[in-house]
Amino acid sequence: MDLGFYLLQFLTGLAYASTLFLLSVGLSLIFGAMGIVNFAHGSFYMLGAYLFYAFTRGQVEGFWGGLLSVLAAGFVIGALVERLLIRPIYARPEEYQILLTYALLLILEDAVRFFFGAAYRSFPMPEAFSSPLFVLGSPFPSYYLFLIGLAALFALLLWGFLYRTRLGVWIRAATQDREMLEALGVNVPLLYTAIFGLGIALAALGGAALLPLQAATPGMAVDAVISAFIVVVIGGLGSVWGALLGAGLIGLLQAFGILLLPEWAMVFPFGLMALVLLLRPWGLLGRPPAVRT
Amino acid sequence: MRWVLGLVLAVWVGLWILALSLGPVRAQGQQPIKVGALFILSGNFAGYGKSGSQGAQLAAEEINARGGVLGRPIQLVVVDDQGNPEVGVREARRLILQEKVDFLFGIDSSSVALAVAPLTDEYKIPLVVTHAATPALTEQCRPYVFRTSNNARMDAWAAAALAATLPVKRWANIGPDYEFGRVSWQDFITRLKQLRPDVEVVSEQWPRFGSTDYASFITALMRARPEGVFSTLWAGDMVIFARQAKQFGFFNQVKYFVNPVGAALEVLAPLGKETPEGLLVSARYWFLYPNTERNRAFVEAYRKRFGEYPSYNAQEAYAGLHMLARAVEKAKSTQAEAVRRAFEADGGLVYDASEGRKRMRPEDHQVFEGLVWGYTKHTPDYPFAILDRMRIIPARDTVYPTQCKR
Amino acid sequence: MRLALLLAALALLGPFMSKYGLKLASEALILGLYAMAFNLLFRQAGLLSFGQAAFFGLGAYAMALLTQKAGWPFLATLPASLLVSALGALIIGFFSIRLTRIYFTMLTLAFAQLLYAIAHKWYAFTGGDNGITDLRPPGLLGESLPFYYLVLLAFALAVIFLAALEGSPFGYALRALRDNRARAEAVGVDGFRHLLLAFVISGGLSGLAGFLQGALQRSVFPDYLFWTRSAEAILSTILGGSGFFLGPAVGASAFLLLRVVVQAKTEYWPFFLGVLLLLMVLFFPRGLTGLALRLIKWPTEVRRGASGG
Repeated sequence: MDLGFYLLQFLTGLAYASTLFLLSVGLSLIFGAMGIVNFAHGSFYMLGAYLFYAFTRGQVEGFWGGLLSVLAAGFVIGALVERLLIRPIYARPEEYQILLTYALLLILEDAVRFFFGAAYRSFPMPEAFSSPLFVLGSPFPSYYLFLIGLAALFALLLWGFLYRTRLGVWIRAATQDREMLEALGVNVPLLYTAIFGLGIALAALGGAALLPLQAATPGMAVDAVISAFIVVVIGGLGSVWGALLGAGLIGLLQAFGILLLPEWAMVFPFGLMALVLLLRPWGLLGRPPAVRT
Repeated sequence: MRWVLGLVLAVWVGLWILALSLGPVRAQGQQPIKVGALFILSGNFAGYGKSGSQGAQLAAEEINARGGVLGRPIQLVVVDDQGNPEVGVREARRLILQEKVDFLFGIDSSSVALAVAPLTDEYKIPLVVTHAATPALTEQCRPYVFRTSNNARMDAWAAAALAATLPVKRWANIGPDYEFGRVSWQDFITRLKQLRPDVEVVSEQWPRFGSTDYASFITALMRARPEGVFSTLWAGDMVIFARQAKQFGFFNQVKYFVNPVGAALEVLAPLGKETPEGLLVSARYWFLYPNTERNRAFVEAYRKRFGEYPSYNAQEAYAGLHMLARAVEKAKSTQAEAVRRAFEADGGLVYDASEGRKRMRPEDHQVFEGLVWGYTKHTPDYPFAILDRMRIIPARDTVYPTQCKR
Repeated sequence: MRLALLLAALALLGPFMSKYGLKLASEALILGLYAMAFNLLFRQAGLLSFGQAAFFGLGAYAMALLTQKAGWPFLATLPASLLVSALGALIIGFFSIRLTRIYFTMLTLAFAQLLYAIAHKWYAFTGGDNGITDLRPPGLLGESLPFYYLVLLAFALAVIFLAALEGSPFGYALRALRDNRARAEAVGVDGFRHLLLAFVISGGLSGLAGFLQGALQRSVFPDYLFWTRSAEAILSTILGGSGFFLGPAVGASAFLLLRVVVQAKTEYWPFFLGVLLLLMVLFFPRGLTGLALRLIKWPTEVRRGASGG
């Protein structure tokens, strides 16, 4: 019986880790490829959840279509934001990019409140996931398995994309030497627009995919971006595997930490973050930044 | 260049003078009684604040329709305190010093209430709280702070009174890790142990307030095999927890899930038909109880005005404003001292609200009233779960000792 | 000289302001002080710190805890606040300054959030999210006008100190490090020591602001340590223009004024602020002060152009 329980707890840890990964992978990607810390990341995540609800009107039949629509909408919105707002300030010091994303956070929060109101929005569990899986006798929601699978799929796809495709090579090159890449004839501005769109699309999809097991609330953006920051600070800004590692560590720490110290559940992510910051400030899988003058 | 900078500075100073001359236009004629209401109108708990401000609005309209208080109309000024204590203090000051309100009202967040409370002494303006539930507020024994809604300790004692009658020995807790969650559990389990010394605690889980994933907590809790679980998860946390726990079969295993703030419409409405049945919940006011003419009239009036059923915060604000009006009428004045005496006299002001009789305890200015609990059940009449097999906990079961003296 | 005139004007204005005006003015000066402390790092040293709230909060909590729990007289807690926040800055700075640019920013943010979590969780000591209330300074300082003068005095001293710092060899060293760290270190400037000292000074002054704010608002909450508090210093600075010495202070009063006016009329203040910030970043990176200067210079520039210059 004990083994069954620990296995179950492990799965819940993975489940939580998956939700965190889906939330933060876009943040890490955008930073890794463009060097922008997107404070509005949580806001796009929130937007994804609300848009999912709006597209499907809360009807469970629209589940798959809704997810795809949100992915597409997220990409378009991200691309527009990059093209219209971020591109003009690339020449400026990067502090201004942070401030711009912070402005977006403020604007989106009120925009969502204005259009969607104050009530919480939920989405019913799709039929395909309504019966639980049984882990050595205990029920485990199959939707969590879907999320774990989705997270794993994203991680693999992103890795494949970044390391096995031409586009991915360009993206990684852009982080190291943008001018050289442009000199080689790559349309870097367009590339940046696409990456930003992708990162936002991932954030939005994260928000949508989590809706059947969570709720869309008007204040979820700030909470989400802090959680995402903790994950990427631990894992390493810019590393997709780092986001996975960070999410995994937090998830498992919570799952097993509360068996030993239930009083301190709230502190675990911060404690882990503090430890990483003291020992490896650029994150577990991050690269120590090159000294630039 | 020098004069340029000087001009900038002059403009700066000028802006200040402009700011200081900002203020409402003094209306001629009958001076209204101004009530400054602070509610959370943005962020995660905006739904609660919206209910509260709507309830207050309805009450103000009713009072003015019958001629106002002491012949003067009530003017409600509603501001958003964002659940942030500093915003609350700043806005409260603005209401007192600029808007020249006679009373402060409302307040959802306990920390905002605690931050604003010292201002009542500083400016001698009474504050009537209709939501913020920390017992610490009234235990400060301030002369001009009054609470017309029940607080978290009363909720916990009512829950304990109910729990004592249940065939449950093994109890567990899952609550948000902040003062409200902590103190509610402490009050509950201490009181329960007084009433039923044989109960034992098998597990305590403390997810961060605002958590979005409870999976690990749910399985850990289920492993301890509790018969009853007490919880003060509320708002979005409760919605999320209920959905996730249901998926784990939590409510099949746990016989009694007791939540004193689980019957809020802000929680039941989004859950809709997915609400697990048989949850033993309360919410300070349930719109279908009591089935009196007066309560039905209130619910109808609220529905007509705002297009939704009144959540508990709406009724508490509504009743609170009416009770304040009653006190002012009794005092024949809006002066803080007179109003205080009116609230305290004759063993404490009594007001028959739509939910039942409210009586204010003179020592600590806390209102005591009966609390309604029930088991969630789905019916075709409403899109959300309603309370079935209702149990009323009488006020006397929730009266705890206070350190305040009069 | 201009500075002295400004301070004198503010002092003279005191007795003419309403109680509400005095509270607003005090808050503006405190926010201005806080923003100027931030700008020391941002403009002089080229560091974007997103964790100033840590020191602001430390100063506030030091005052609150010493007056509430240890019964210290209000003014006696002032040096303690400065010390605690400077010490906090020393520790956090020691770890953060090793890194540059974004990593530095993220680290300061992380540390501030960590302190926030501790203040929130350590209920027995800090009162958790209930905070510490009833912090009215006793006697004369509890009144609006004398407190305003205290704030003005603190602001004045801090600003004079910062102005002196700017013109000192230390200030030159900081700017040299900002412009080209390798070269500055090549001529013997110890980058780490200088930046750390700047960080500590900035932290101490932020703590002073926190000390005053806690007394003004009569209470201290974990919210003082939350990252949005750090954002306020940054926003004020950007709004006023980080390139000008008094820019942050100008921005702070504009920020406060706007917030008070807008919040009185609508509940969509974040949207308003977001749009304003967006405009500032996209079109007016030199802030309000820069904008004002440009407007004032504009007629003269047109004239010059017309004469064929």
